[in-house]
Amino acid sequence: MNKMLRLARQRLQTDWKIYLAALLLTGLTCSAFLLYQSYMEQVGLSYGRRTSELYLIADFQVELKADQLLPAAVQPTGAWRTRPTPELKATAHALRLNSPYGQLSVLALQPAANYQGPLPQPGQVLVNERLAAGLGLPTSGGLPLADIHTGKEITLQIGGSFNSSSATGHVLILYQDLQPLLTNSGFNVFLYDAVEQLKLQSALDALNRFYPDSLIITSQQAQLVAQQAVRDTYQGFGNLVLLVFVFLTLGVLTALLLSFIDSKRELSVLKSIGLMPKELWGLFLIAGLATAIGGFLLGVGLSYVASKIMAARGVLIALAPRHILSLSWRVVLAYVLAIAVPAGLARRATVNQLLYDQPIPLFSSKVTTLKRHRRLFDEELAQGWQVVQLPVIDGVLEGFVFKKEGDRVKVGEVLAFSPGWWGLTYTEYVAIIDGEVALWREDSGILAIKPKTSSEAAH
Amino acid sequence: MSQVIMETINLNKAFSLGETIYAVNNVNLQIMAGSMNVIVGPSGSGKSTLLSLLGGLDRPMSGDILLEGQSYRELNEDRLALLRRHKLGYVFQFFNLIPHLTALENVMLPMQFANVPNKAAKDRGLELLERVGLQKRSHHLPLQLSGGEQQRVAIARALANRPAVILADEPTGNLDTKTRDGIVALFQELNQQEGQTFVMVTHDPSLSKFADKVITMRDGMVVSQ
Repeated sequence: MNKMLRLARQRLQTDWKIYLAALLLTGLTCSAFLLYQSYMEQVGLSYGRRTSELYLIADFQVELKADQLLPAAVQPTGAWRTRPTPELKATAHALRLNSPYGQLSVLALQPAANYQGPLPQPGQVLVNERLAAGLGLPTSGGLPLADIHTGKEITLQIGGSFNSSSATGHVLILYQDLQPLLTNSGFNVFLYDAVEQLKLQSALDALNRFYPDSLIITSQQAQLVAQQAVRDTYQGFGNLVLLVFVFLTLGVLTALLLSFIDSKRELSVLKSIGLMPKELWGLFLIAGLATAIGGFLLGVGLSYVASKIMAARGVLIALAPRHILSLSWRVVLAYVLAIAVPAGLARRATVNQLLYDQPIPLFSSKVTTLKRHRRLFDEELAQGWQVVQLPVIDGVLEGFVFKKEGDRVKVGEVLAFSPGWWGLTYTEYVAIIDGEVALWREDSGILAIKPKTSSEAAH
Repeated sequence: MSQVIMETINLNKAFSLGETIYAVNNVNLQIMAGSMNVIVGPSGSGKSTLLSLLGGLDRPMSGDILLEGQSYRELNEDRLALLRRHKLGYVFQFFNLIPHLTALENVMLPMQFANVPNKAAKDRGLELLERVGLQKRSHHLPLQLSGGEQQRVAIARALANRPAVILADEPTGNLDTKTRDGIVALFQELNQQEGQTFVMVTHDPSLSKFADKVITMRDGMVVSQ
């Protein structure tokens, strides 16, 4: 192990420019990944928070016509009728407001509302206790609110809380002072639980009756839309991340290949004096991983600094350990893929291939039978002949044949070989029967072996 | 009666240069243990190719080589590397020292591969450098050494793990007469005193003079031995 570390250090020292380039590339990629992922997660989180609150508080929404008021009394049918809610009996506007606790639905009461429940003082809000518990809303102090369309801000004092039946519940009840904030669309928001499902359906039916022209969106639909939006966002992000790491892999691969080409002579010497191919692999692995770790740490450092700068400018980015974790396996994967090619070449190459710049076959295979033109040799194949075909391109045989017609061959003997793909592949043609070369055609590359007859075998 | 240490069986190696050229064509050789062998022949006759096949630096297309009875064909690349590490010493024509290692570090390298403890490797490295007359230059980088000195470092490196066979490709080809005589004397001494087997490719008659066997090659074939 010691010697491997020493050799790896020597490699890094010799080709330090190339490894430094790979390290910088890795560092920049890592920091871009971390910043982007952290930022996207912030976006996703706030989106997710809104989504979950929609799920929590909104069972359906009604797009109201301009300045349309809720009727003085909505009379739901069925079980609903037995327990009319105070809110539904009021004349009011419903509207959506942003708050530090997400988007809240608000019922703004008209001055003359025939409202039966608790009333806030002008400029105050009342908080629904169920919702306050669910959202972590305070039940006293100030509550900053902003209109979601105009962005107009207002801070209201929480004047107290109220209880509503489980089937209903505007988040807040505001007094008329909010009139300038009103918009043309409003929300009427209900809570429900499983027991109240039927009531919900009744309420939906009632709203449909009262607002036949309105679009009613249930929270399930809204939630689906939100989920889809989040999924789309992350899906796009996922493709981008894949692309970034494909580029990283290719970049590092190029660097390591350069280093390999640069040090072929040295590697050949190391091999000639007995460095084992598996040790050579280790050498590349150690040098590569050292670069990967360096680049990774650089990336984490860079993104930390960048996140501080961005935070100072109001862009919230939170680097989380799980981002760093998910980054680390990506970097390792990119490097392992990138290291595999030069290390594989160095491993497979003979000393002479390295020393004299000969092509190094990265893949080798064995061929034992004809792949094309089988029907031309149906009869011979049926008699147990072995027929192989070497590639012939433009009338020139691509390969070497060790045998000529009449030569004896034994099982397992290599008959011929052909290099392919500019020397990257190497195909051996191997005898699978004992016999004699009966046919060799250089123009077509066909080599056929006739099996030994039984009398010959006995002989 | 000495025994055969190295043997080739129907050894073939061809190159494709438009047409197939057999650099080594069906060569059958026997090298006796402790003998001094010289391969001679005109340029392009396949001497160096044969030597690199013997050194396991390249794979033959067909045929086999046996070293102390061990077939090269049966060895995978890792095992072949171990064979090179422990049983073979190879001296290249152009030295092939690692440029950023000192003379001593170059000589110690094969011993480090063989996991010889550092102290022992250093002692042996210095001893070998002394033997080739370079004890004072042990901390010089190859670039600071002359061609003859580099060649002597390469020889010391080849001797490091006390290999059974030393293969040398034109070991005196790039050297002046004086240095050459020194190296010839060193080879003779190693051969006679330590019984090391030598196979050398050379044009140099002063090396052939001491050879137990002169192998002459032409067009990839052994024409006399």
